[in-house]
Amino acid sequence: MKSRALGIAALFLLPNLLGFLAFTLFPVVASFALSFCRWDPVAQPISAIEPAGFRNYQDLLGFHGQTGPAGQTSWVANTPRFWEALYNTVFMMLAIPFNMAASLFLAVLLNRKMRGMAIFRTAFFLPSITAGVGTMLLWMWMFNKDLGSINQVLAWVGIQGPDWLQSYFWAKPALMLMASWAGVGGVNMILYLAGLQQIPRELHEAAALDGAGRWQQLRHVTVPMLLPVTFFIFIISIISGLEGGFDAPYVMTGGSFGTTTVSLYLFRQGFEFFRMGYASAVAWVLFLIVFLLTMINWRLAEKRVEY
Amino acid sequence: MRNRIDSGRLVVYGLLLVLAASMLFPFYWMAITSLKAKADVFSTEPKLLPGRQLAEQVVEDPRWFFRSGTENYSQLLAWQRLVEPGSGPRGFSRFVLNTVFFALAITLGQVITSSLAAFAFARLRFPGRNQVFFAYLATLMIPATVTMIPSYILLRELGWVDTYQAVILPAVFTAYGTFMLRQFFLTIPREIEDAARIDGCSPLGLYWRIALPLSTPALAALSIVAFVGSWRTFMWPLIVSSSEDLFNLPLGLSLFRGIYTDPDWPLLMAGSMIMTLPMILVFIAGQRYFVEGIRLGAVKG
Amino acid sequence: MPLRGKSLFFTAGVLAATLLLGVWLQSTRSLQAPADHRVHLRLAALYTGQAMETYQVLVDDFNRRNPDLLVRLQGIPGSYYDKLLVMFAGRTAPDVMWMGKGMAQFASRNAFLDVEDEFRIPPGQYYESVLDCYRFNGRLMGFPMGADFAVIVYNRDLFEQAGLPTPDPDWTLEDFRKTARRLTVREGGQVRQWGFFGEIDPGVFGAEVLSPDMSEERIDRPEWRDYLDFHLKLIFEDGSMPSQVEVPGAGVLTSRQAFYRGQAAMISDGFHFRTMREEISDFRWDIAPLPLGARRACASSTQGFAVSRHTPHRAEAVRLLKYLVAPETQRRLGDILVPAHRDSARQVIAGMASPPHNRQVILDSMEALNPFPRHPRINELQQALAETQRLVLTRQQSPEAGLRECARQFREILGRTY
Repeated sequence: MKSRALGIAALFLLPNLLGFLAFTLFPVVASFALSFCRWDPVAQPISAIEPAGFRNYQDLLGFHGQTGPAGQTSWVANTPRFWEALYNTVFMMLAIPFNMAASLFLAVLLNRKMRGMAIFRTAFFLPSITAGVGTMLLWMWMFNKDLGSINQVLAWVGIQGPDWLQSYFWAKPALMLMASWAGVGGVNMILYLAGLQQIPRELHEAAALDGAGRWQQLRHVTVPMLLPVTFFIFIISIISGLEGGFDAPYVMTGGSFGTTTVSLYLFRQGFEFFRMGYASAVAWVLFLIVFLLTMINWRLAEKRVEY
Repeated sequence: MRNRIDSGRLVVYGLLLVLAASMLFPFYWMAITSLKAKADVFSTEPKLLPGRQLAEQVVEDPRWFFRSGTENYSQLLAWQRLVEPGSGPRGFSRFVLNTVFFALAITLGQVITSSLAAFAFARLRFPGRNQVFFAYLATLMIPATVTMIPSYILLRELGWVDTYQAVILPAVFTAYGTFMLRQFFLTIPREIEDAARIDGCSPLGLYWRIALPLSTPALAALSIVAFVGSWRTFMWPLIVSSSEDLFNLPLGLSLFRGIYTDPDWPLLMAGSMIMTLPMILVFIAGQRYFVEGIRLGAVKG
Repeated sequence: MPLRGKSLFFTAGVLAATLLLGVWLQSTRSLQAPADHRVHLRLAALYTGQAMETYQVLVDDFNRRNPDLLVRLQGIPGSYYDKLLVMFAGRTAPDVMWMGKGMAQFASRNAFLDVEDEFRIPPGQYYESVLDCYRFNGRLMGFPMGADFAVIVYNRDLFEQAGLPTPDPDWTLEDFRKTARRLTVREGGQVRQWGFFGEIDPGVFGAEVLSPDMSEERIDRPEWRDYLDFHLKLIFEDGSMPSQVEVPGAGVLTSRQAFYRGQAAMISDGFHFRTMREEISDFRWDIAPLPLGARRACASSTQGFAVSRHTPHRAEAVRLLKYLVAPETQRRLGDILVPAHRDSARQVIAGMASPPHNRQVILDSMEALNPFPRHPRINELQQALAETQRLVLTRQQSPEAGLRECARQFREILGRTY
């Protein structure tokens, strides 16, 4: 009986399970192992993979002392480029709180029984559903120094706009602006909308009876009630912020002007310089950061939500 | 009192309109640019709203639109690189067909395999079920960057680099789809299942006649996510495909941009339109299910 | 809503359509082997419109002469070497491929067939500096067709208007700077005509990228300071050169457009200057060597071909290689580059139409080629260097800080154990 149940279950499970084993479970294990090895797939067959101990991690995260011209010793990262990429990635994640606030704002606006809300919701959602190389080219065109619409608008108010994607100062904000456009009306807004609709009406009514105005209701009823959803969105945003960010710099700036993110750095190491072991180590460091952040967030979320 | 409410509504509508306009403006800019000739774009007079000009042109000479307005599109679809041996679709039109094929194949694959697995996890009892499901759950958090390199090595050892299956297969098996559908299948009341079982329904019958029809919103949501996701996927095809006859639209567009150091923006915007418009249509067609899917998935998950 | 009838029909329809589409696309892939018994060879080359047509003519000619072979040309645009390396990694590399400055990345990874024994070259027949670009550990891992290098292209009419004599072949950097200043014309605070638009090769200033054994960087040095300072002076002190903010590649294009429009009196350009003949009809122009600094040098690149070590058809691939780099072929490609074969180079240059008039510049430049070091990580080194140049020349970084930073990156790249 048991074996029959297993047989039937296997029939359902196998197609997905085989793929899962081949393209998720095996790669995870292999990637971890590979991060302690060195291998150049151009020069060597697969049999030439050789162990490298902690060498990759040491190259990636380690520091070494360097004697300056005056004889003083300073600590220098073994791979400053990695830290730079991490800095760029984190910098571009600074937009997350603003994006979340904007998503909440849009959701609050939409959360009314008024005609045409579905149309507005669709309009806000379109950028996120279409985000891709197509919209990246579109933004490159909009960011164009002389002919782009953004600088034309700025010119109306008498500001001479910068060369957005070719400037060390503006390239990151430009990518962040594009990401915000694609992000604020997306899944986060829908999640907030769902969260808002779950708040019992009575809470607002009670607050109104106590003399709370719109703003106070938002502060004392809406925001606390949305805390779980906010934490969920925050975690997801941080994870995708750390892991994502490959396509836009690859297509729009090629990683120049301080826009090399960790995932672009990893891609370069793996598929341009063919340091497969080292690239795997980068992936695992990234994963560990994500993992730790998620854990910390869950802990915080639990505490806050409980009380 | 009534007046106050109305003015409040008016403010909200006004705000919404302004916000929606600024969100949609890029699409408008893309569409307008794609209809122009390259020379018109480089005329220096600022015209942020050339829509009027175009509208006048269309009114004046309705045939203009089909003659000049669509020129970029036809030029693009006919575009192919100088030397490409072989028969069949080449160049940009092949990018379009490849994208359609990838999106359909990956969507079908995801919906079929993950609904089967989800059914097993939600509705069948077998030894080791929870352990296997936990393994699925645990990998949800693992970034694609971790699995990317070994997946590539695996395909290389199979000799599959630069083939259709290399682009499609790794994208088909998602833990996410399985997880999401399982949550939905769990909500189906046991009574319905029991009634069907008494009628002599096999597990496959349960899956086909009960689980699937009752989760149409979830299936539609997953289909849309899968379709749009595979329509615009960039990084993985970039890694595994080196021949242009395997490129999808995102790769094709970035190739197209790279070839010309002096970009022809109207032409590129026509390409962007070709890539973006189908996603908009698919979303609008299925958005009812989609929004419901996200909401239900989030509430339960 | 049971999943019968309409839904089933719909699903089955989509499934069938997808399958059919897939089968059709798979059956029309372009690089499948031919159905007959000819040996199929894939030849890859950097995709640039004009060169591609020339290569296609060569390939057609070769296919006609060798009925037992079928060569197919595959043009790869953009980051050619990166894509080729990915093909080697994925084991989908072509059999024969065009090779330029990226040679070392492949040779150091043992990706190419050793063809030393296939070519018997009497000494002196070829430009040794060009051959050396294809030689690793004393063995030829590919073979050159020819070289390309930078010269100064100048507008003779504008020189005459400014009352300047044509450039002296031995003009110094100071002469050059003065000339550029005098050729700059301002109108109402705006520059109407730039004296110069381009780059003077770092080699002219005596700058080197790496030590001869390629183990140490030579970046954080006074020669590089001189190089940067010179360009900064042109841009910001004299105002005789526009600030170059464009991405690499686009810079050349715009400098040339400026030249065509008479907005730049001098530009630095490669051997492509030959094609300017068709573009310029409204003024007279000529070429001059790069000015003389610490030494005579000109930025240069070589072009040639190499055979994949993994090709299943070695003999046939070598046959194709020999055809592609033969002196006759080099002469046919004289529109693209100067042949590596000395006699052919002389013939091509003698047969060139004017302008340019001063053809001695070409022969002199061939003796002063200054190729980028053949380091296996050349792409990373060049990336770091290009970034520094861009930052410093747009004043986003001081020359000192830029060179220090660049040197640090170089040390990191060179110091890597693998």
